[in-house]
Amino acid sequence: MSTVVNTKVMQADLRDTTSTSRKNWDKAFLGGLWLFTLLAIVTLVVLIGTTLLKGYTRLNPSLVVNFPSPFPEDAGIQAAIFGSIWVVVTSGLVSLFIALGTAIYLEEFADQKSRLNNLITINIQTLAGVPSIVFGILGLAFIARGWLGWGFTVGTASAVLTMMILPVMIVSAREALKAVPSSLREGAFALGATRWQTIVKQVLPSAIPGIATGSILGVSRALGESAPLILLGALAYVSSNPSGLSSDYTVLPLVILKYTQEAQEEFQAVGAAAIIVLLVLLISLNMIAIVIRDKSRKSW
Amino acid sequence: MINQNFRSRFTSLVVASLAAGLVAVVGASPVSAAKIGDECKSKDLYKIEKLASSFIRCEIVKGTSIHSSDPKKKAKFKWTATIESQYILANAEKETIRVDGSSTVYPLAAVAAKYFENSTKSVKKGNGAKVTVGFSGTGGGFEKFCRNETDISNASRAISAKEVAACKATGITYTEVIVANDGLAVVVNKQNTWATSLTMKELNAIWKDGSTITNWKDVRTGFPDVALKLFGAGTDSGTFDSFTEFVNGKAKSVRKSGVQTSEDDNVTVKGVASDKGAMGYFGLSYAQENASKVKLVPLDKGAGAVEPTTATVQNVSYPMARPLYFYVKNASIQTKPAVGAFVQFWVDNLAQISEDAIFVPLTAKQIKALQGGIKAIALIPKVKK
Repeated sequence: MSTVVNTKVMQADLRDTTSTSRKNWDKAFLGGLWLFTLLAIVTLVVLIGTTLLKGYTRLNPSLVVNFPSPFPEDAGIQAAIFGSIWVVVTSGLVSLFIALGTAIYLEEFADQKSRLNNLITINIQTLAGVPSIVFGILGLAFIARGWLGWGFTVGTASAVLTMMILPVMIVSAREALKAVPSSLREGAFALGATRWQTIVKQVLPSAIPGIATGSILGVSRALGESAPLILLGALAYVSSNPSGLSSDYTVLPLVILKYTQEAQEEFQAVGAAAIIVLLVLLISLNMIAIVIRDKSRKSW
Repeated sequence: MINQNFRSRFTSLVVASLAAGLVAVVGASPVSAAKIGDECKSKDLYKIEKLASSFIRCEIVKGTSIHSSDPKKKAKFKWTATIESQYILANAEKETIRVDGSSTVYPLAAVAAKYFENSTKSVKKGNGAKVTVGFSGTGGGFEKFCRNETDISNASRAISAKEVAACKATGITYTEVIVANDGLAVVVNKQNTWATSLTMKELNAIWKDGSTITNWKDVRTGFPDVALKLFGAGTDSGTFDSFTEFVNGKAKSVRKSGVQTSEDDNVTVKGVASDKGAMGYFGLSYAQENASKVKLVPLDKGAGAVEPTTATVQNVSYPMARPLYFYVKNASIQTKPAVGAFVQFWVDNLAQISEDAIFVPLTAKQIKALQGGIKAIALIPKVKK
């Protein structure tokens, strides 16, 4: 009796695979996917398009040569570009080294079953979700003021952004290391390599694409961040580029914020042009990541 | 062979570009060929040069505003004879003058900073004093000021008792300077035909703590049945403090619900411009800049409705007129000559700075009082000629 029922179900299933209703479902699903992709692209194009339209009149050398100014006709973003580069490069380099060290320890050396390491892992994952302004408050209390007392400088901003992007970079570096097949490590061990040699000569080179992608994502986040830096004394008017870690500074997102807040219509164009510069910087950062990833990609 | 050829070509290119750069630098360096009466460029405004034993300064001789598109107001610039004191001010030591505080006063401070740097840059050959200006709000500015982190704090209200105590605790003494007049403008949508004026009582009924008015018909009998939408300034801003004090009699006291708050005045402009029943408020200079998008409402405190204009703000007949301040640390003036020089420069050129930052300038009486007060404090020690 039961066999009869089963055959019936199977027959129904088989018939269904060729039925038009199932094919239509398939088409509808594909269409839905296309729709969402298109939605994302259209939003992006509209955003970039309107910004370009608003800002193209100010997209000239004077924009990057001039310093921030209270007058729209000679307002520029040079100090902000250099400030952003200073902050992003220092925080990116420092966090890259710390993140690499942490990830290598947690993946390659640490006892995966130890409670302490689990606690560390959970902590890092939680930190990745903490809003940036919280890091800003932390930096204000303990780095800018408090016993470190670095003041409102490039160094403080870099330290806070380092804290902010570290968790993301550690998590992505760990994932990259995890993706390296263990046969690679075992092969190296079998040939008599030490643990250190294995990691430096075999595991790390294979993990570079993943690490690069994660780091660039982290750095891009730091480049676009403004909330903690408002708290950390990024300035609106500064007429010189930072000359070191103890300099006053301003960053692109903050200058954009200030320009778009101004009452005069002409400032909106300057703000839009600055947004385009920021976008170009972000895209070139991502391009670097893509190039590194493609150059060092390996297949097993 | 090819490599060598390339290298020599590269070397000659470098040499050529270096030479070209040198020529450009020498050509651009300010060999003072200008004399009194010659034209100068707008970007050189307040640049000072020494001509034999006298001094000349690039100044506005015709027109008023340097960035007005109105041809009648468009400025002309000429080298003009100037007094020695301006040269001495511009000779201030190479120091960083830290300014922070109210975002309302920010444009004024930034214009002053730009002009001051123009004059020091020309006299000190690029080694002049540097000014940095932040905009962390009146409250945030005072917090830094009383922690000894800034030299000058901009404020759109007078320092509060709490802040006075904070400064006292760290032993910081300061001098209060009124730099401009400002009015707070109440704005409504362009299509709002009924609110031709509002009384302060009506504003209080709308904005007071506990107010439940959500419709224009409840504001005044005769007003139409249109939903009232309120836009307010950020709670950290001096604008918010001033408005709540003017309207509700107590700073920071405001209705808890039904107000959309934003630190960005542009958001308020857009919100009010897009909703027929909307109402918002911000600084008068900002409102006048946006007069094409929103409507300014005349206010009445019992003596008839008064339009918000420069004149009514200056003579305080407009109900919501307020002075704008900066506070300068006395210790900074004594230890950093550049701070005193900057303050003196700002006060000396106050009229032009207010004009270019689009602020309601001080009255002649206010300026006179201010200059008297500033001369007493701005002792600039150790001036090098």
